[in-house]
Amino acid sequence: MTLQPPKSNTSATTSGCFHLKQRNVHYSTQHKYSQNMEVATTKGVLSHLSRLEVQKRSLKSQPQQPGGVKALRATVEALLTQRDQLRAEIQTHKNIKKLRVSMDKQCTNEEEETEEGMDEDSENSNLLRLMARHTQLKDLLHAHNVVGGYNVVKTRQGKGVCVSVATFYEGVYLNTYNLEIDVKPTVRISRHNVPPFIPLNNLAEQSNMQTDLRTLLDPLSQHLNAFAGRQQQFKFVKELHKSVEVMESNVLCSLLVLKFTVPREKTAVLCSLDYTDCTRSLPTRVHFESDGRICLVQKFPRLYITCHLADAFIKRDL
Amino acid sequence: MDDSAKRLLQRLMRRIPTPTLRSALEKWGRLTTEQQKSMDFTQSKWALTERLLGICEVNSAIFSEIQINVNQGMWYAFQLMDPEDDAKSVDLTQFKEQFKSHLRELVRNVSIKMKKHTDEAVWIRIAWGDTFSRPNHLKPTYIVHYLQTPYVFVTSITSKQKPLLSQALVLSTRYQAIKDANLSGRKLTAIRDLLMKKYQQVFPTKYPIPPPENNQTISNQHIEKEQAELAANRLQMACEAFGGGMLPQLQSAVYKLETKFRDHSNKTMTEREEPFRCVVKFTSTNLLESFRHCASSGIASTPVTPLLSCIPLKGRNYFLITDNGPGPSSQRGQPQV
Repeated sequence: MTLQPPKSNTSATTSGCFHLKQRNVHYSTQHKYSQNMEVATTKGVLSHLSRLEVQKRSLKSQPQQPGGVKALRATVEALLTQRDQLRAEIQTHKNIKKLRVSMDKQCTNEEEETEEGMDEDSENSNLLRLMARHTQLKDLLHAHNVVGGYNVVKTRQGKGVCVSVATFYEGVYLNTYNLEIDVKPTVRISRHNVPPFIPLNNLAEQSNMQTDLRTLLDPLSQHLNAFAGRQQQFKFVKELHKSVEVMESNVLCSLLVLKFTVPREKTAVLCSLDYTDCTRSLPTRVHFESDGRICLVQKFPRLYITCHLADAFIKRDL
Repeated sequence: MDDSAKRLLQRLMRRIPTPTLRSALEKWGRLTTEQQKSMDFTQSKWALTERLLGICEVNSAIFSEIQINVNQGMWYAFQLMDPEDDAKSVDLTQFKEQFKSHLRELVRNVSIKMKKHTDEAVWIRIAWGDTFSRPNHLKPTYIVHYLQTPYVFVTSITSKQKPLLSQALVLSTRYQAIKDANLSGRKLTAIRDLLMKKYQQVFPTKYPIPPPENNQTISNQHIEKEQAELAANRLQMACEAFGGGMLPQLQSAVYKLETKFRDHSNKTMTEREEPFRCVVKFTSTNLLESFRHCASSGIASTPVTPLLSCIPLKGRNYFLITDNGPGPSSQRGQPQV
């Protein structure tokens, strides 16, 4: 007589492998039971019984299986909490995005102060608002870094920008220069009020302005600020030291020749300042001449090269 | 003062019309206030000339600028191209020496006087002569140049003298070429300010410029309410195109058009091979101010057409406009030179 394995069991076993892993044990025993039943019919009952005994012993020597259940249960818990966390984050992001849209609108229309009605409790909505403001400020900071800290205004419905480059010397703001730049189809300077002795076209050619506008703006700012610095120093020397006579100067303030008298010796000295590097407001070369001879006063040149012009004159008088 | 200079001064004095004599001498600025006061303008011109000669003996002045006020000549702008590496370190002494030596190589018998003014402008006065004649001081050429800028302003020069001057300028300023900047005007300060960008320009900023205060009473509050924003926009666009505040005084703008005649009812004209040429000239005592007012008051449509706004943008008032290509060209074609 053959022991037919119960039909329900086989169906349970085959379908059992798709259930969660807790059923694993049950499946394996079921499977082995059906196998064993077939074996028993071929080899005899006693051998079958001995095999069952071995199986039971082997089952006992797998103690981690019940422990494995616990570990797996713990993994499931962790995954479930992670899923809930992610879901909450997505929801927060959606809320912040909504808030940002209304916040950005508020920034452009400063008259309207509409409050976005949040249905959640006030603490939650305040936190969300803070987070939205945080992202807004981060974006602003990033944009500010991209344009290099220069004032930029959008023009022509987004097809152009107007960049303002400020100049200053010793904490005092001087002239502001503007550049109107077309962004589409190519990056191109359309209008500006930079004076012609600043080599703007050269700087534009040498820059990488199609990809990074700062490669044009930073050198330009250097040139303009250096010029503003030289111009201010020159102005101060003329105003503060009336005894100094200007023998030569130029619009770029890069070649200056001044005549002054040394107070004690009452000799006239001709001082030539050469600013070959137009990106600096300190001279590259200072030359002194008195009665046709070059002065042997060694300390003066260092003085003029390291500190600014008007200060050097004050120090010289002392 | 030598005899030729004396004779020259006498001839100059004869040329100046008597009513404008006092203002001409004031503009010249070479006489001190006491000297100016001591000139008795009720006397005859001959007596005044003698008095002036006496004063000039004392002053030994260069009378280059008096000519400017006598004949209101046209100033023309030129642009130096492609500077060499040492162009930005050319100093005044070097420029003076080089210019004089180069010009003297090209022209015999030329009188060159160079002077630097406090606003860094180098004034050059050239009296041209040739192998057979002495320099003609009655028709001198005046040149104004700012070192380390690419612009040169010239008045009273003939087409024969132009290439000689160009060569001397190019060599002494260490550039490679010189070209016509297509800008001319009666006032040197105007064309200089336009090219050196010394006038106030308006750029798009976050805050629009305030409208000018008009003392006239508003006729209709409703009209004012409707039109205020539009007027402010027009003013902003007009100022962005031409500038704010006082504008450089240009007297004219010339557009030479070469286009095709377009009128289907007139076959003879449309079938001509040669381009249809016409000249459009705008004149005014202050052209840019007129254009700005046209735009801000709505007579000219805003945004300002690039044909007009390129006068201050490119710093020129002479344009040659050709069709962009075959087919119907736009009414407001981009100027192509």
